[in-house]
Amino acid sequence: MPTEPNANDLGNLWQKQETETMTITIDELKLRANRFERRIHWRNLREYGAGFLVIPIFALRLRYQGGWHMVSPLLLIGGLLYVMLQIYLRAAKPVPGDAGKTAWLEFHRGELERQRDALCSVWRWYLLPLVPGLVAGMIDTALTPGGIGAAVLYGSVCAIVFAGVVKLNGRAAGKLDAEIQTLKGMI
Amino acid sequence: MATTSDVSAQDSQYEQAASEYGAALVRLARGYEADPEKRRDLLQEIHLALWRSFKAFHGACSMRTWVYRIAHNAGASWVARQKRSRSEVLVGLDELEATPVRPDLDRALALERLTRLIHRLKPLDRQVILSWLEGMDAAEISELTGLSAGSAATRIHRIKTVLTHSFNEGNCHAN
Repeated sequence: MPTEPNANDLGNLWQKQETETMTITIDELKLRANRFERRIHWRNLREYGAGFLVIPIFALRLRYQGGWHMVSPLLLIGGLLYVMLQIYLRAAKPVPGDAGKTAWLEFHRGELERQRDALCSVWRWYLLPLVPGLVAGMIDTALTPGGIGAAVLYGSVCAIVFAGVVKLNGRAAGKLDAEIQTLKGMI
Repeated sequence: MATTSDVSAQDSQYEQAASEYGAALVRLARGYEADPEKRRDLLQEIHLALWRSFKAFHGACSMRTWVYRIAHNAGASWVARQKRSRSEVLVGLDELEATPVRPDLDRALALERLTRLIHRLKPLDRQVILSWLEGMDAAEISELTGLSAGSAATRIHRIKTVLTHSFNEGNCHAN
């Protein structure tokens, strides 16, 4: 018959293990906090890199095009700025200062729900803002002599990419949702 | 805006927590990260989260609960981030096969096996086992994790079973 575990033994074993000491002063922590903020700032900038690269290209088109040809680049710039703002607002945050107020299950469930909602609504905040600019660009292309074929190709590629993005994100959201349901069952 | 007295309260509360729970935080970090270099980063992250957290600490729960919640939340977030770059699959207590851990035999070997077992667990079960090893009871673990008291007790029982199922066969299974 298996011996009943001796909690004291295992507890002692764990608690009396040799531990490396680490002393951090308050000043060091403040320094680290600043460094951490800077790192997040640069990471965000990198994430917006694509937007920052593409916007000047559209801005350049505005310089050389006039009239209704300006509609598509203007709408795309607006859409990209909106998407970048959304990425900033939805970016993963460090452990929040008040994380001690909530037990882990609630904390983790909140994190997963935030991620799931972001993935589920990706069509609304990531794709839809770009649609007016892309449609305007498609019409613009279609109205040029012999441009209908190019416009159809352009529209088809965009539609396939968008459908792929929605499908992949939906699948990831589904996995998160299953995890959330499991957590709910534990409370 | 934080006043000077808020800041000094935050600093002194952090210092008190760090001196009281510093060693426990090192052990906790060891339970969440095997690599010593990365463990140091995790530990710094925990301390940083802890210091920041004291801005919002108004004594609604004990300092001990607060410290462990912050530390476990930071540890679990760390595991989630690291999981993306690692191929290992984390399992729940129910999926864990019995692991012989005999503290009376060879402490270093027993500790190594115990730590390896902890590293295989999903964050919630890891939190339960680490808390149990730190001497917390089901009620405290329930408060810490958000599990119901019954559920916490069941998991503790499962931990005991897993750790000691092969207690008598420790020598046979030792690897």
